[in-house]
Amino acid sequence: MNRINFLTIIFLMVMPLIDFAQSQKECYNTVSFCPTERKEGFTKNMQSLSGAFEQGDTSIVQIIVYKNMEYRVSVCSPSNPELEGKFQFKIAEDVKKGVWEENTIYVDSTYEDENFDEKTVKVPKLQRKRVYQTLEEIRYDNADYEMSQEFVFTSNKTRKLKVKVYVPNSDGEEMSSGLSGSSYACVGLLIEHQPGIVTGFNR
Amino acid sequence: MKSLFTNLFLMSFVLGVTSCSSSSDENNSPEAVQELTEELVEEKLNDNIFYQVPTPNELFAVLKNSNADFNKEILNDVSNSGKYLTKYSKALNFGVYTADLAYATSQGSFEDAASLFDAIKSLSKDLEIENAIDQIIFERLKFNLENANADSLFYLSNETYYNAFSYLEENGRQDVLGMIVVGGWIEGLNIILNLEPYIEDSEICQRIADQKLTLENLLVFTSNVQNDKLVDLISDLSKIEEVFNQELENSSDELNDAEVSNLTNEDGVMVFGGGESASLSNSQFDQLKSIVMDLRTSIIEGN
Repeated sequence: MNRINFLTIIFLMVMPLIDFAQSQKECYNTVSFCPTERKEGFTKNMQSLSGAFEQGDTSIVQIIVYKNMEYRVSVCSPSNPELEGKFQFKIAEDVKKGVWEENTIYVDSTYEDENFDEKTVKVPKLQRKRVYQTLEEIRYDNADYEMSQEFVFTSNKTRKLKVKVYVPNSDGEEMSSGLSGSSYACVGLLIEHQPGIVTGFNR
Repeated sequence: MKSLFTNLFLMSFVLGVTSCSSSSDENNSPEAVQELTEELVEEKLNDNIFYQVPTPNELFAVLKNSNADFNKEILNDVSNSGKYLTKYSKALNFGVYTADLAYATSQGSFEDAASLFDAIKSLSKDLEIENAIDQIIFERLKFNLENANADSLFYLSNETYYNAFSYLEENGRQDVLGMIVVGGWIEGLNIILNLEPYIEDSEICQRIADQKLTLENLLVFTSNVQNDKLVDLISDLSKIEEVFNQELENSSDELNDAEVSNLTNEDGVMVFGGGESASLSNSQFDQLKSIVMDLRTSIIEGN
């Protein structure tokens, strides 16, 4: 009897993992079904990503964007139309920022008093240290743009950016059965690119 | 990758020690002194982030605007495609040929594109990924080759790579995927290193310097691949990383604050601004050229 209970517990623990692995498998290539902007000249970018998400999940993808290239970022979930238009995504960049840290320590200092006797006293010494930390700077947040599900941008230099995708909670509603009876939704983060317009002289 | 972060951990240096007072009675009364130091706080790798790598197509799309002449001599000879006998050499050279194809189609070289497509098709069969590159794509390729449609060819060369990548990902073949990505990256870098001699701050030199960022992501991307030969090759990439990191040692203003700003251009497109573009010294260029050439030679010889 105990053995049966133990196996049941193990099964219940492992089941969500199997479910998740199965969901990931089913979600490969979701991005292929996201609407593209080929007519506008954009080409699918290999840095796009597909995956299985639970409501409230967040995923972070670090991409590299080239200088003089135009990028279009969009999010879609063809299997779960109720989520369309509700995805929040942010584009962030890790930047180095310097801050001054001050610390006072006391060190020995020797001087001669009025009787020409040598005296040693503790003097304060201010240590100022410039500390450079990597801080995250939010470059774009679609919540500031009426939750627009697509964003076109370019960059003045090649840089690493993080795209953060938030899958909305649907307030107790059941997700539609996009995946084999699970609570996961297939989400595609589509990245497209096209050469931007180069201004100035060419060499 | 490890060495990059190790360098960052260790990078802490003293700018100078400054005394606040220089008065004549300095020795008679205690004075506060100020000490300035500067340090860089460690940068950590985040396990919850997917690190992505741009394709050679994207690199050559950027270089379409440069005026470098097409150099057929730097392509891997398609007659080599039959001599690759192992999965490792086939996959690496599949990556090499897709990078060559991206370069050839970006430059409108139809003759080379046709033979490169054949080599890729043959290797895709050996690697059992021919289903990813379906007949429709090859027919569209053939049509566009016959009609000399350079833009469509470039687009289709990207589709070829994209489909192969997705197919391998879907089927859990991370080892082959890693080999293709590494092969394509090395070939792409070899091509841009051979487009023109070193010219400080030229468009091409900047793109070469940018590959430092791509390499960092490539090393994370391939870090979980279980294949001894690929692991050895990836460890050889550390030589390239060391050359890219030399700029940290030589640059005096490396620790400047990075100011970020967003602008909107005349087309209404947001432009992410701020920060300095990567640069490359003549010495780094020469070292990279030599290291990459050796690695690439070993790949195309099927070793």
